[in-house]
Amino acid sequence: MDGDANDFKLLLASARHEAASLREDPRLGVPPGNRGAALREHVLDLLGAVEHRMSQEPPASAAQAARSAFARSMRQSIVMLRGAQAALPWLTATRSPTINMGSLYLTEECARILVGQEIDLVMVPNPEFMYTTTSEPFAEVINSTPGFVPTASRRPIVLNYPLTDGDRLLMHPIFAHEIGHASCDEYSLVDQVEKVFRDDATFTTAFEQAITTMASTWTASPPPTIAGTIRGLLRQWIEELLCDHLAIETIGPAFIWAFVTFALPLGYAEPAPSHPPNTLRLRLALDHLERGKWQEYMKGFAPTVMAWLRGIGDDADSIPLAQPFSFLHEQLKRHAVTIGDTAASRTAHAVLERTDVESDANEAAELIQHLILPVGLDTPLKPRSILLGGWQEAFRRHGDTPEGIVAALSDTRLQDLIGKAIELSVVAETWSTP
Amino acid sequence: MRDLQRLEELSSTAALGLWADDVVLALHRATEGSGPDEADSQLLDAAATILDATRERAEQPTAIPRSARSLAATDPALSIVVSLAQTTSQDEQESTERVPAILSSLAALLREAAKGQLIGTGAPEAIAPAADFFGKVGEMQLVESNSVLTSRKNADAWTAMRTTSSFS
Repeated sequence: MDGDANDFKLLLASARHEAASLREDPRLGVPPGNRGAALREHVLDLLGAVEHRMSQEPPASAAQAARSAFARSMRQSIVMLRGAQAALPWLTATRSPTINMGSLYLTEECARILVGQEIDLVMVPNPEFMYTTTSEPFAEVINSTPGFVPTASRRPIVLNYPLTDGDRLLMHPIFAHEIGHASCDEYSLVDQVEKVFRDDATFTTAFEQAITTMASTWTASPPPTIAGTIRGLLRQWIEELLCDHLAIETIGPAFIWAFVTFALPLGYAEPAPSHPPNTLRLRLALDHLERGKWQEYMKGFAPTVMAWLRGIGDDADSIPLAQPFSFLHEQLKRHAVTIGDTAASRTAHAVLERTDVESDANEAAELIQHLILPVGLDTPLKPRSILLGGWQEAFRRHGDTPEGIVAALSDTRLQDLIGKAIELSVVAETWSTP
Repeated sequence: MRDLQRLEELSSTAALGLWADDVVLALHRATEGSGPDEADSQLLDAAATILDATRERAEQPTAIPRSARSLAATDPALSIVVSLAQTTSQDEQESTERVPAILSSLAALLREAAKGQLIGTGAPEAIAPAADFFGKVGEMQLVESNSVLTSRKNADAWTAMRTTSSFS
């Protein structure tokens, strides 16, 4: 029977075995530097939390229900320990980074802006062709262990990027979107947006209508369950849009060009449970850039591409979606400014303003055009300005066309120059800081 | 996008299961000796609050949960209480109406246990409905955790949907 003496013996031995195999793995050893140290502590906290639970074994005289509950909690813990093996290759990646150093510095700057100073950024090449992230992946289990006190003081953020993209600097503004997920977790940004829906009568009426419509499709589920599912979808879409806006606030229009190059070949107006359609994402992103007064800058060297993207954004109004996606789509369009404002208030201390960076971006673009390392003629250029200047030069070299922005991704000389300039800019800035 | 390994989802699924089993363990400790300690009282009160939130969702489906955690915690509670109501009633309307009452009585039971009012003879029988309920939540989450660990794909068949409507 589950929870009997033999079951306990098996479960405790198995949990000890799984914990030991992680703890004794050389990849969980102390890393040579600071990078990966917080991720390691986070894994060790998970082991500590499980070991704390193991010590709470109920006595033989305990009721069967209590013994079964303890047995289940051990099984949950073992599942979690087995899942934690995924973190070992991440720790290896910190010892032999393959990401461009300039990109790493720039991404760390984005992480400090979006999440805070106490972060541990771990960049991992991904065998699957996708940019993904996870942040404090075991936190919920650690924090839900009564009586256990974790030791990790910094937030580990793991960013996965496609194996082939380590040096594709022009794509790396996508990292700012990925770090946005950690920012959403750290500051409960999705909850902040959802609060606005609470007092919106139009939203409530539309929500009731969507539940009624879906009841004819999801016939096995009662209205509260249907409502919970739609609510879950809404939260995922809010988070993705927030991450887009956080990326724009942090890295400016470079995000849009990277996003289009990566995401548009994968989908156009198709909604997914985890992501809004690209038409809606582009529409809201372009509107947000215009509110930030970026449109003249973008049109200055990419009028054709920007007109094409605006057309795609306009399709958010013309391509109909089925329920419940049409409900999500309409409500998020209605509350686009709320999403933008939530992102803007998070980044207010370090937002990328066009007026602050345009002349530096132009300087960087001109230097790159002459194959001069664009570190800066008088003072070091800021990394974010160098990246923008790099995109300007990408348009000049490869054309203001859809195929031009794709061709730019193959320009390794251009991207090497951008990466090296960012790296040296950070080094120069660090040296000059007392 | 969130990680393909779905480790955060695994962690939140497992944490919810661990929490439910902690409630069962706390309930039993609350009926023994001198009653619940402060940590167990807080845990039982928090569990009662989740049941209240589940009742609110049952009564008003469009009510917005306070957080993602509340949404996640009330989902399995809702699913279990609906099937509990269906097993004790043949009539669909009647079983729907029973859901809030079941949740209210379970929440009241947890609050009594949290105050140390269920100690001694008869206590195991008194707490059995709540212990069974949270035990089922624990079982459901364990199945879900294994599913998340072994599969990267969402298998929510009942949420299958068309993504776009036709232009015609």
